[in-house]
Amino acid sequence: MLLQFLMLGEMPAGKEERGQGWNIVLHSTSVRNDPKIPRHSQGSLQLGETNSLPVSRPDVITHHLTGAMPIQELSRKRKGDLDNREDGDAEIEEEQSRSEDDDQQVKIKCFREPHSQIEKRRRDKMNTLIDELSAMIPSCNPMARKLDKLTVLRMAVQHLKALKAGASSSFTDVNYKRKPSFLPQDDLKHLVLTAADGFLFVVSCDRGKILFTSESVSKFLNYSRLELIGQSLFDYVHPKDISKVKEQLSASGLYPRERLIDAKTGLQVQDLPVGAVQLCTGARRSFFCRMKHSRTVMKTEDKTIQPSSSKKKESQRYCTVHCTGYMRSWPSTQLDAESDDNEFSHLSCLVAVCRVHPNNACQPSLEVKVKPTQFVTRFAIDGKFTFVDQQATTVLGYLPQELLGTSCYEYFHQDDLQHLAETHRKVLRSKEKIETSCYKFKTKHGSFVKLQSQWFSFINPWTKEIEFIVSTNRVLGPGHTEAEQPSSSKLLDEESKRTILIPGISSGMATMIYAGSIGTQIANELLDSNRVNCSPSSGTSSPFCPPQDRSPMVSSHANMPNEEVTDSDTVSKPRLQSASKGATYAGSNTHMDTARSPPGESSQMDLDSMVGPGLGILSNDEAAMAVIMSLLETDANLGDAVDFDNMHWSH
Amino acid sequence: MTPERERRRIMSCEAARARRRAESQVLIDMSQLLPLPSSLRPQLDKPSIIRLTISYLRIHTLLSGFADRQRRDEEGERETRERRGAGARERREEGDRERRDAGDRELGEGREEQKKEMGETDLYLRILGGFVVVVTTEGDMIYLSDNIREYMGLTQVELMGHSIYDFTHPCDHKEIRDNLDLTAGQSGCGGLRDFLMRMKCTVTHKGRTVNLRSAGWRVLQCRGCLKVCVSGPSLTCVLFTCQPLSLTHTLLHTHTFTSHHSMDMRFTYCDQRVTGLLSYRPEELLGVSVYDLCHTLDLHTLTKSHLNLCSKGQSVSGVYRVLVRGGGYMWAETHSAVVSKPRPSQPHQSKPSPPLFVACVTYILSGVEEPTQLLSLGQMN
Repeated sequence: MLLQFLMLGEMPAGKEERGQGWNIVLHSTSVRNDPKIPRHSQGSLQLGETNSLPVSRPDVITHHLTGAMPIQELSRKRKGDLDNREDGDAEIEEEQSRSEDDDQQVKIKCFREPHSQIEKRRRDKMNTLIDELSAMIPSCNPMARKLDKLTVLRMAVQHLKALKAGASSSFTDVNYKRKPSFLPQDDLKHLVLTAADGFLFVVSCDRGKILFTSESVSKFLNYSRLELIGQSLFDYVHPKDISKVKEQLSASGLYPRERLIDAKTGLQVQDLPVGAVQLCTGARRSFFCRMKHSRTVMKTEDKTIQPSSSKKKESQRYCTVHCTGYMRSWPSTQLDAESDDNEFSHLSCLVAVCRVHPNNACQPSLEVKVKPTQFVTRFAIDGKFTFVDQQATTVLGYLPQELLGTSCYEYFHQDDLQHLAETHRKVLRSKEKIETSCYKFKTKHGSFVKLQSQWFSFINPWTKEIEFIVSTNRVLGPGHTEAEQPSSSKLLDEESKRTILIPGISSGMATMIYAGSIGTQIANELLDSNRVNCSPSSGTSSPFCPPQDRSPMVSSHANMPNEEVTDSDTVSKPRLQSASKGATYAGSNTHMDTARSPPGESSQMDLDSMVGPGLGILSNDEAAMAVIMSLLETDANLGDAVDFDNMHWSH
Repeated sequence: MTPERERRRIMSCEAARARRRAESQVLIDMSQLLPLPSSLRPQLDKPSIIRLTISYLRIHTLLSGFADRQRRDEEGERETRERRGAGARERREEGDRERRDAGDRELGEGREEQKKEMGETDLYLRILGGFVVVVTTEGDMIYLSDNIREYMGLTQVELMGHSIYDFTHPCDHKEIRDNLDLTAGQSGCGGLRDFLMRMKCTVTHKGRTVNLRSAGWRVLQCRGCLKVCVSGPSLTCVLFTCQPLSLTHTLLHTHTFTSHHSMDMRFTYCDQRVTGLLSYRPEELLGVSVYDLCHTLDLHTLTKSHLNLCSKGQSVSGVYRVLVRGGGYMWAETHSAVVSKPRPSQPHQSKPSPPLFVACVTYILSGVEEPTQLLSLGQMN
């Protein structure tokens, strides 16, 4: 006890002698490590160091020749004082250089020099304490001048006496006399309930009758204490949780499924000693249940609670509480006379404190943090949807199961494939959240909706590997106006000349193959890079080139679409590198575009033909191919960088 | 040395001695005013007495602040209770039922009285399964309930008035500091706090008490709230309950299931009850990550818990949604602990032994919500 005080840096009162402190320095060779141990760990006496090097911690034992001012019978011998030890360390080190080979040697050494410092520290500490004390005493506060130590102490004593007189009842408590507690019982009770931020209740085990609740229940469940006492707990528990609560209140014989698990092995202890846990006094309980919450506001309430009509209201009326407590039995001697239902001499009860879960779990339906125009999706690193929240259906028209397992690239507008693929690559290499620019997503009805997403890759905290990508999607503006989707309308125009159904499907299939493979490609790229990065020879030739350096895929796009591409495997690097600027192709694009564009837009179209030959008119699979090509291309320094974000593909 | 100087020296010595004696006397008086067991008093040194006095005054300031508010609350409540009581009575038509209620209520009141006699606070602290700590925003522990000894081996008197940072794991200091911060805490929850910290513990698994120097760390779940005391000396404190987290003696009931995971949280074992709750068969969960089973919006909750698990060895997930096979989700909370290879030779090792797996107990908190909604690939089959 005393020793622990000292180790925590409390300067004992008896350290005031101005003579020399005698240090007995116990050390072994391993003490040499000591100065390297960070200061705090020495001070805080970390378990490891002290334990793994049991003797290495130099014990500085100071002999106090004259304990100057022991308040009580303070021991004259002090061991392991923190401050002392600190000063001792330097000593030990120099000492060690001299006697390095001596193991387990006891030295008695006298030191004078650091003593004044120790004294100073002690005084400083005392002064700080006195200052803190004076701040807590009302009569000290108004005085402008700094009071001397003794005055402060005297005032503190006066103040304590005043407090004691004020709280006489608790101080003269029977309990207090027997076993003084630092706080009066009522205060402590209050403190516990405030800290626990919950309410207490006592329920009888046989009928589930509420025998007692603390007043704070009204704050949490909005029922007054008097309303609850005497009622059955089951009337206030969610119907589906009644069995759960009964289980907790009842005997073990009825519920053989209850088991204990051992934290050390993590295995279940199968054979419980019968009745050992159940109902015996002191058995702990910890469970969750949903309890009714009166929605009526107390202040204005003067009518009976209407049985709620709608199901939604019903769910809002419950809140999840965590009950922790234990079983105990009271001798029910005085109860026997009054209550008929008590045949036992002991009444078993569950005594528990209930905390309402801080989470908004009370109202799960309202918990969804996303606004109606937002939805969350999750895709695997190759872009396949693995999670789609229900909100997506209202925005996109697809049921989640229609999207799950398919690649997100199948739904992206071809204009955006390049940008999104870039973002996808970026997000796989970054820990940051990355915002995509606005893009178009094909809805179930074939139209496009403008979205903006924030992507981040989820990295498993243990393996540090990317598990999936989370995307928070925001709907931008009104979904799908005609002006927003010129290219899709173009496509539709084109396709309307043919039979709608069959080509539509076939192009859809193609989209599936190619668009989906963009994601796969990017994922493979990541895996490759991981592999390359693992090998020491990887150097700088990472397949990833920074997105900024990556030239626009203009050229690669340009030369691709005219060629017959049937399979992504046929895409080869040589072809990519024969970047022919796609002049001919650009021309063909231009005429198709201008055909539909008002004359005023020609300059815009020229720009298009210059930098990115009308991706709009490529069929989606071709665009996808082009993106794949560009991904394969590692050193495409052709042409100038083009900011795709600022390009106006539509008017 | 002149006799004059000698005389002066003696005089100053005398004066100093008198001063020290006076000081000691005041401190002895002070220690006797502190509500401490008399057996403990002789063991206290000067700084300890002052330290405890400061704590005592601070907790009193805090509590008197409470008392004011409580009085106001109580008055308000009494009013409403009267009104509500009247309303409630009106509601009950059958006279005999009312009589029985009244009887029961008396019974409740009687029990209350009875309980008071039995030492109510012991009850409160026992129920808690932990202890109460009051910490100022600077980190001074101004109060700890005396049952801390049961859990940590350290006593109230040893700790009171000291800084919390001296007794907690250095790696957790930032988190503690964040939680003591005035503005911290989950927004909109009225300054609620919920975090894990490691505190020194001198009780071994076998119940032996060791020296503070060879103390181990014990993970505590700290939940509580911020209290600002405006009257008198300004004092801002965080009140919280500290409960050791342990999976032992968790009574498992039908709405829980246990599972084992690799350190990256993939299932390596799951008990049969999961089928009744979430409809997955245990064998098909093997190798599946818990992250695949959770709602994306709760990813952060689980990640935080996983990080705690990696750093502290134990964690409580908080509430999250777990996806049910075939559609929908349920609210759940998972308590988990890293199970390490036991090293019987050195029970208190600084170097953690290699983790074997993560043991989890998952409590299902609700029924299936939105049962028709398929959200993830894992729910389909």
